Amino acid sequence: MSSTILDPAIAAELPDVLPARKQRGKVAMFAYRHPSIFAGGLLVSLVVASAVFAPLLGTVDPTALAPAKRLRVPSEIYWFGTDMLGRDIYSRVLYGTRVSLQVGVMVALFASVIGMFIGLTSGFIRVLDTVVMRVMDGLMSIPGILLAIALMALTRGSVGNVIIAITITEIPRVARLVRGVVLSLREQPYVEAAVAAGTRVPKIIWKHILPNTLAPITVQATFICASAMITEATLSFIGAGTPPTIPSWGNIMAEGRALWQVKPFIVLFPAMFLSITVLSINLLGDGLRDALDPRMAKKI
Amino acid sequence: MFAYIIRRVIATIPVVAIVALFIFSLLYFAPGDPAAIIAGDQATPADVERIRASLGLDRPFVVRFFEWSWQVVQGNLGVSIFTNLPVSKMIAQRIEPSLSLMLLTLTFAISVAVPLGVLAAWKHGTWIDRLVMMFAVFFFSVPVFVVGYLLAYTFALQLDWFPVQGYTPFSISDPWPWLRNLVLPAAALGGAFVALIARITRATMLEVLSQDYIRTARAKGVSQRPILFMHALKNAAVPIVTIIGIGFAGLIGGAVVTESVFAIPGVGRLVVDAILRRDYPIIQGVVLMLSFTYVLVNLCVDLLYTLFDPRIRY
Amino acid sequence: MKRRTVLQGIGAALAAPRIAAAQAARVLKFIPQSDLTVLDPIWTTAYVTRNHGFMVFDTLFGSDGSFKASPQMAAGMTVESDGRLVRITLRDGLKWHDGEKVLARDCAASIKRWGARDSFGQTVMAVTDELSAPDDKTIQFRLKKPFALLADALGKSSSNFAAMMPERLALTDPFKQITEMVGSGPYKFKADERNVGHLVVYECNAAYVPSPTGTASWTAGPKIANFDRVEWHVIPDPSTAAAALQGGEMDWWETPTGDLLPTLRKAGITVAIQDPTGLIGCMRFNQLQPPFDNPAIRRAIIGAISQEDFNLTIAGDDPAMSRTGVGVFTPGTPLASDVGLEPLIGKRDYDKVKRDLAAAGYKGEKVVFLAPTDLAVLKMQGDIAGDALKRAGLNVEVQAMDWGSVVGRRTNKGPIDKGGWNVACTFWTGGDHLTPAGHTFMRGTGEAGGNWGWPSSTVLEDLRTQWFDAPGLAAQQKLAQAMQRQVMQDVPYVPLGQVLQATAFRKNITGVPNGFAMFWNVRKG
Repeated sequence: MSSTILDPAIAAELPDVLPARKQRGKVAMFAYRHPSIFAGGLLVSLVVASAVFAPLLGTVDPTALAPAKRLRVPSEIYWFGTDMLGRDIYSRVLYGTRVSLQVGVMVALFASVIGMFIGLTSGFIRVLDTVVMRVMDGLMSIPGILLAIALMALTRGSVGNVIIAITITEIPRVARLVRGVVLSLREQPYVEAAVAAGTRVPKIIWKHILPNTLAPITVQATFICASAMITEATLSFIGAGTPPTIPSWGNIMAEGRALWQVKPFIVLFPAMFLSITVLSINLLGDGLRDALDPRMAKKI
Repeated sequence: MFAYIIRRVIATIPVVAIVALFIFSLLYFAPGDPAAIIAGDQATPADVERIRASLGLDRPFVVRFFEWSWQVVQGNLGVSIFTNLPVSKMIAQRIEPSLSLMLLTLTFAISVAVPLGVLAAWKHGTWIDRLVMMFAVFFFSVPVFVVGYLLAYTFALQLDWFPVQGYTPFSISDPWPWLRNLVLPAAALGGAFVALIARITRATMLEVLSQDYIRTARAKGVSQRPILFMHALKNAAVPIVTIIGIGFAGLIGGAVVTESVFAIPGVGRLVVDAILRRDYPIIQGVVLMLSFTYVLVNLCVDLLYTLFDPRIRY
Repeated sequence: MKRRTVLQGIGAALAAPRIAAAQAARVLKFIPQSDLTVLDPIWTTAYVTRNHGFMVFDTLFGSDGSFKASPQMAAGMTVESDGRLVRITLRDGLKWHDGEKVLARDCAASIKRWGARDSFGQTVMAVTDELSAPDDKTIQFRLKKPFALLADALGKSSSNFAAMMPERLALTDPFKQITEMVGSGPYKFKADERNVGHLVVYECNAAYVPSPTGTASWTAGPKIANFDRVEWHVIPDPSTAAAALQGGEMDWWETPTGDLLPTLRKAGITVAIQDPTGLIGCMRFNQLQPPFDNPAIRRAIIGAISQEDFNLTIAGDDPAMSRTGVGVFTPGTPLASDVGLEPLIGKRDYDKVKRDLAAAGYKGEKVVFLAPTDLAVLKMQGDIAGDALKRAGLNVEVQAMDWGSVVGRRTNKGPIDKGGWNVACTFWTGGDHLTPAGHTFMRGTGEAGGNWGWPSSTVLEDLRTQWFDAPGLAAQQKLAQAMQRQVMQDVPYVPLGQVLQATAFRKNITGVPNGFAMFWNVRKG
């Protein structure tokens, strides 16, 4: 067992993701040591800021129709142009950031928590293991996007339902990861010792298992966040995602799709934002993995 | 070994059964009425009711599930609500394009990604390595439909090198039209897999290169290239095969989108159309078939391990 | 020796494309408006199935550009006993695709099947005492009262049209789909090559005998099939379809998106409006539930509708592609007028709409608007309509869902907390709004009528009945004006403007018939 994994300093290292402003020297040092975390973190914070401060960044109502001003090319007035209903694409893209981030973060959070719960259950209660893992196998054997579309067909489109649908497709990944960690840790002498000493299961989980799953789950959650954003955009693009009344990147692209040849900017701007956001989250995830778990970095 | 295969095959049955129950109940509870869609925009509610009854959609869940399962076990996937054609026939029509797209994508991805990964590992720590890894992260982050449209715009519309859409069935005497139609879709779909496989190859190569026997080989004076390709690559085969197994679901998911962008008549487009129309038998049939394929592919992957890595024994 | 071989080789190489071109001229590659999922034109009202139906099935009567019926499969029609006995005789040499002769009893059974589903057909069957085939060539109607529009009904070209099929198919339950495509039309359906969602193939019906009389126009006159094969390639993505047409992979795209037309024109593609009746947008209210059970509130909403906004968004910026000032009947056709349309025309004053709504007793009740998400044109219509309702000051809840769900939800008569609805929009083809006969949204048959929205208006129903018996165009026009005035009072629906649907084909395609996509008399090369 590598000492880094058990190092309690891991938990303390996480907040460093947001660069500390006080000490310049340290920032430069951090950026040098973890370029991926630094670049990814910086870009992610920019995206988060543009979502939070969207109303202050020169936007107008992203849903205001103006058929008379439709399909304007990017200009000083319409920075990213207007779409076929005359809506301002810049405003829509910026407000769309909110939807994407919301979906990404919520899915990552829910999938991690639920997946961790399932993984722990499966790892500790061996009677349930076979059944739970077969269900997870079943879920994993349905291509995620198909499963999400099918789930979306169940319900009326809403951001909440999109989050639920994508979460369900992502849970098995976390559950398997956690179960794997639990199974390997159970073999460890100190855990065996704890069990032999009569320590109750919740305490074992709290003291030994959780600290060791936190690092891989954090890394996994970052990737889930990125992939959830792509799935949301793809769902909306196919027409089975976020309701079209809400500006999301996938919706803007879906609407611009018909005019891709003549007005490529309608698709390009949200595509650019989506790609950069996902890229920066993936960079962040890569960096975190390298920093938190060098062994895992080698494996994948 | 044989007993192992039998055990694995039997183990797939509960998985497929769970998928069947899951997908059937999912669609049972789904809103959206196929009868209303069939009757059309201008039909009266009485018409809709009669169509619903004639399709048997008004019967209880359990009856319909067992009837359906019994048929499936007998190899009958049912009849499409809209077209009245057997689902198995509709799927069969669509398999060739999807299979072509996936195989070509994998061929393309492996043949680009493995050299890239080897290169990155060989030049580990240099700007080449970083460039390859940046490239990998980038392609992992761009949605497949965006890549698809960019490729179509550049290589089909502007340069006119390839057709924009469609599919030509494969023929041995003249495979060129088949290939021409698939180049852009395979490239679009392959991007993410190039990224994935390149990263795996690089990581595995790095690990293998630091092993003792490689160092021994180097010390004995074997030159760089034979080391890389003979020893290292052989060991890299295992993780690459694994990623194909894991990535298969992603490959299908990507194919769904790619087929719709390039108007390829594959299984993916069939099921998306069916979902949007609520053609239950098709959705059930395709999802069941795809997850069964997924399970089989992963079974094959496990068996391939023994081939590539004699150390693994069952 | 050697040189000659080489030259021969070059000659062959040069000739090959020419042979290929000659073969290509016999194949038409067409992009339909949507996927053809249902083959039975009686089972569904989908227009794509209607277009398919007209390739495979023929009709007793055709209708021409001025919407008048003329004999197609029929040789003639005689009317006796004060209009109560109608005999239609079949023309000679008609054969089904399976080689059997077309008999009168086949046609009688076909008419019955159609009469069970189509609204015009139901009107025909309601006045029919007996429909029979006294011999192989004669179809006989015994009517309760004279019915001047019988030929128009049998020759109707919008869905569902009276498709003639062999008796063994026509006896199928009208609520069950027939999938065996045996008709007597100019093209045969190739069942073995059908790939749902991708490809539909037809081949020339060599045994087809075109009508010896009449001039070719819409579904009337001689239908001559000039292609060995017609292939329908389903391409759902408009950008891809446009590119395929530009690149010569396809010959004809039925419904190009309005905003892509300039690009297509620039690329040398012919863009034409073959159907001057276009599509007419309609906003429909659920009149069984508040607040739209109140006619004054419905009337107030008219002031919030800007037909121009709908047209601009759906048809694009080209003013030739749409019309405003659209009333109950299709603009440019005999019954259309602007009588009583004042509230629909002129500058929109949303403050006035709000005042009118308040005066009518609207108290901010929630209004559920069903907005389809999956079909581009319907989605844009929904976007504009939802916006207009909001601007009128209604407390609108836009419920976005796929078109199939909208169609399902619309049939719910209950209150909104039980899955009901208040407002929804759709399109009718201009062909449906030519006369009161096929005009479903003008009906006032109430809850029993089964017509979603369920408006009741005895005045409108009376006017409609009078129209069927009206002696000539002038009298019909007078009644039509009265109907339009009444529609603006009762507001069973609000017309949202007319958009014309262009069709786009390559320069080497000629003879595309007027009307919807029809494949006879078209040539290539």
